[in-house]
Amino acid sequence: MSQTGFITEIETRDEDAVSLPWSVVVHNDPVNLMSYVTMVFQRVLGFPRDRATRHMLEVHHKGRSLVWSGERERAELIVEQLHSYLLLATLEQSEG
Amino acid sequence: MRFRRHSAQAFELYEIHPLFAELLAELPQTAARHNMAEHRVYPDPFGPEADEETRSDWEEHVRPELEKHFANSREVVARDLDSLGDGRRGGRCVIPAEHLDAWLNALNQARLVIVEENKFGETDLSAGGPPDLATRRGLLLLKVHFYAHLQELLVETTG
Repeated sequence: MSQTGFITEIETRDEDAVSLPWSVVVHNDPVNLMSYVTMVFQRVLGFPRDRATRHMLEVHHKGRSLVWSGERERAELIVEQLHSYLLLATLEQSEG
Repeated sequence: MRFRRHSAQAFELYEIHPLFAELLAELPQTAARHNMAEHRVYPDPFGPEADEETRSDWEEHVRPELEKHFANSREVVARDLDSLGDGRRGGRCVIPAEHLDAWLNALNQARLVIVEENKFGETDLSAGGPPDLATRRGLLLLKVHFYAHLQELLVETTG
C-alpha cells in the first residue's frame, strides 16, 4: 500500500442520523406581522400565497408550523434565511 | 404622514409630522441596540440537545453573516433618512425600490429591540385604542405601532 503523505479521516454517522429528515419549524412571536410572515414564506420557501397564508395562520393559532423537511444542510440554510428576516425558526430532527 | 409610489422605482413618505419624523430619524440607532434583544435577534436554531460543535459552527459561520446583513440594512436606511430634515416643514423621505428589503429588516430589528427592552407582551401590542402618550411606555408603544404600520404599508405595496 503506498503512502501519499495525506491522512484521510473518514467520518461515520449511524444510519438513522443520515436518513432521518430534518424539519424547519417556525414559532409564533408577538412582533412579526402576519403579512410580513406570509411574504417571507413566499420568498424563502417559494410557497404560493395561499399556502404561505395557511402556514402563517398555523404559526399564529397553534404557536408553530413545520414549513419544510428534508436533508440537514438545506434545512440549516432555510433556517439561516428565516433568521435573516428575523423569524423565530428552529431545526428539529424528525423522530423515527 | 402620506405615502405614494413613484412607478416601480421608489416610494415616498411626505408631509411627515415632526413627531413621526423624529421616530423615523431614530430608526437606525434603535435597530442597532441589540444588547437586550440578543436572544431574539440571534435565536438559537437548535434544541437543547444540540452538540457543542454544531452550535459553535453556527456561531462561527452563520452569525457573522447575519450581523453583516442587519448592519447593512441599518446603513441603507440611515442614508435614505439623510434627506428627512426635522419635519418642521413637513418631512419627506424617498425610499428607492431596491432599498425596500433593508427598510423591512431595519423596521423589524427596531420593533424587536423595543419589545424586548420593555418586555412588551401580546396584550400590550394588541391592546385597542391609542397608547397613553403621557407615559414613556406609551410613547414606546406608539413607536412600535408606527414602525409596524410603516412595515405593513411597505409589505402591502410590494406584495
